[in-house]
Amino acid sequence: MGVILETRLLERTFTQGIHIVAALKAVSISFEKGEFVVITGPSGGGKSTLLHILGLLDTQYRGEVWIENQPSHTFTPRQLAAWRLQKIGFVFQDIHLLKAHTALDNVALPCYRLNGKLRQARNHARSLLREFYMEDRIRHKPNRLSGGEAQRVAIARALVNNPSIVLADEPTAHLDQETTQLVLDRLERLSKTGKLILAVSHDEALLQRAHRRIELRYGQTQE
Amino acid sequence: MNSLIFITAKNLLHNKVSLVLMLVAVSAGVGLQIPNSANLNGYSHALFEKGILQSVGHIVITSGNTEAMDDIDVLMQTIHGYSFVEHAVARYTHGAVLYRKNQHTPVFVTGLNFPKEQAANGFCNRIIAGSCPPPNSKHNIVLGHGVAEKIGAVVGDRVRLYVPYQELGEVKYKKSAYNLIGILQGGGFSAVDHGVFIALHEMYSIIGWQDTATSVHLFLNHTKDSKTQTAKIKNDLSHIQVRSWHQIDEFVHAAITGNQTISAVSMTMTILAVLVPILALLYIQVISEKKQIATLMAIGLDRRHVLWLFLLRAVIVSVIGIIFGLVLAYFLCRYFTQYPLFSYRGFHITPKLDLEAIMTPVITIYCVTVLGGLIPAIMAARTDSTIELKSA
Repeated sequence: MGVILETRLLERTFTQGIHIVAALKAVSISFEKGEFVVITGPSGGGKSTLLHILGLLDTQYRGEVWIENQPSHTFTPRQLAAWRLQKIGFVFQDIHLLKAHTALDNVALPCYRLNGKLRQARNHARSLLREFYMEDRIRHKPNRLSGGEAQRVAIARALVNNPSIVLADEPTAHLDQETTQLVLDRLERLSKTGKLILAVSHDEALLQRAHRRIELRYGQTQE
Repeated sequence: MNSLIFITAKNLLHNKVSLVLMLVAVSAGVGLQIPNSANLNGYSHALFEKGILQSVGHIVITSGNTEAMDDIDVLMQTIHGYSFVEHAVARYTHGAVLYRKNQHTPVFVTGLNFPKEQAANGFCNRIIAGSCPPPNSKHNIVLGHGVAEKIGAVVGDRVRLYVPYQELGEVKYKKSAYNLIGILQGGGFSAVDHGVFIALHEMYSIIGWQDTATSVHLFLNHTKDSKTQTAKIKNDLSHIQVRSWHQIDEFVHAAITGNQTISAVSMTMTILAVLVPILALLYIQVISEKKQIATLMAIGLDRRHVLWLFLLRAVIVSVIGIIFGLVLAYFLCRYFTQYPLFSYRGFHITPKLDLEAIMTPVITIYCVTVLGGLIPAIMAARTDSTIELKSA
């Protein structure tokens, strides 16, 4: 289906006191449209770092990142922000909903940023939240949502702008079995429409649905 | 931009205590500083009005020695040639003793041209009892409130003036009787409060000399030009002494300068009282919202947007706070107008609101609030989203 995301000799180091720790060592991987990929590996193996680089959040790396055949390593901060808004949907391990906003507005916000029309964005967000059985929680703020509800809102937020790439860090960590199946069905359907789903997870249910599994160990990939 | 305003408004409303504290800081800053500036303005205005405009005028011309000036008509013609002089009045002041029945007091009696004084400084408008002496007034006298009180004189009383003069080395007195026609409003300025005023032509007949004056007082079109115009007249009339009101009444000058200093000190205190809480509260918000900022960056905001988010908080707080502050200032000014800070014998300190007294605090506090938001905004924009999103 064609490569949508690619890294070439990606290296990322962190300074911890006087030590320099290599989080990623010459990682070269490519992802195709419609793929459902799961990245696994031990804690500290560089999974989240890779996800942040692929999500155009972390730019402090060496090597190249190509997204839809565009060299994102040459993008300006403004271009990176625009690409994150339009092309990438992020689901975080710690959910990270905006505390000041309701569930509805958390989902609507990226759409509002993109289109500039609040009512339209809210309508779209409402229909997405309905898909995740959250319609009776749309007026609730994050502190009044359970972990599973908050995770569903976070997933809806990642999908609201119909991104071509969905990056998910432990997307099913807070979900019960039933909701996990619901979320996985949705992600699978998305991959079938040509979106790249890239998840970091150790969840067996998710691994079973994946087309490909990449293990990241000590900053290096093993497929 | 709409979405940024939306996010900002939601965040401000979410942190209600911070919002209220910031609004209180800004509105108190504006609401208290405007009445303070207006009261000091009113004090300076009252000082200038009483001490200068209703008294000596902007520029005073004297002989420069103890003698009176002769050929006043010629001098007045020269003075009327200056376009910046609105009114010029000649006065002749002499020491005297004022008698009413067996009460007496030493005074300075001044011969005035009443119609000209009225035109120049509204002399007759300040007569609080009785009336203004008519043109070509004869045997009428006006007393300052303080003098009238001292000798217990009321309008309609007969008073006598004993004006001393020297004749062959011997001090003699010229005695003349007057009808007390009016009492002049006081106000704490001795020249007016303790002054005694008769018609200039009657003064001439007492001293036995015409076309003379101890001082000529100039009232200008624009107060601000006093120093420049004084220099110009001084240059043209080098044989006499020309002084601006700054030199004539150093008390008024010093008091007005003092008021300006107090106003500046008060403004500095207001700036700090607004800047510190705004800076501190927005700083705390940035610290506590680092993960939220990182999340916003992940969903498509760049550093510039984040900077704007926090600057917008400061702008919204300043605009709303200033509106509340203006309402507070309005009511405080009304209160101080009704109940002046100081009131004594017609000398009242009431708020004088002009554009400067309103706009200086408003613009300063707006800028200070936005500046208070700038440092936290820069901090917020520097948030490292990867670190914030990783840490639990």
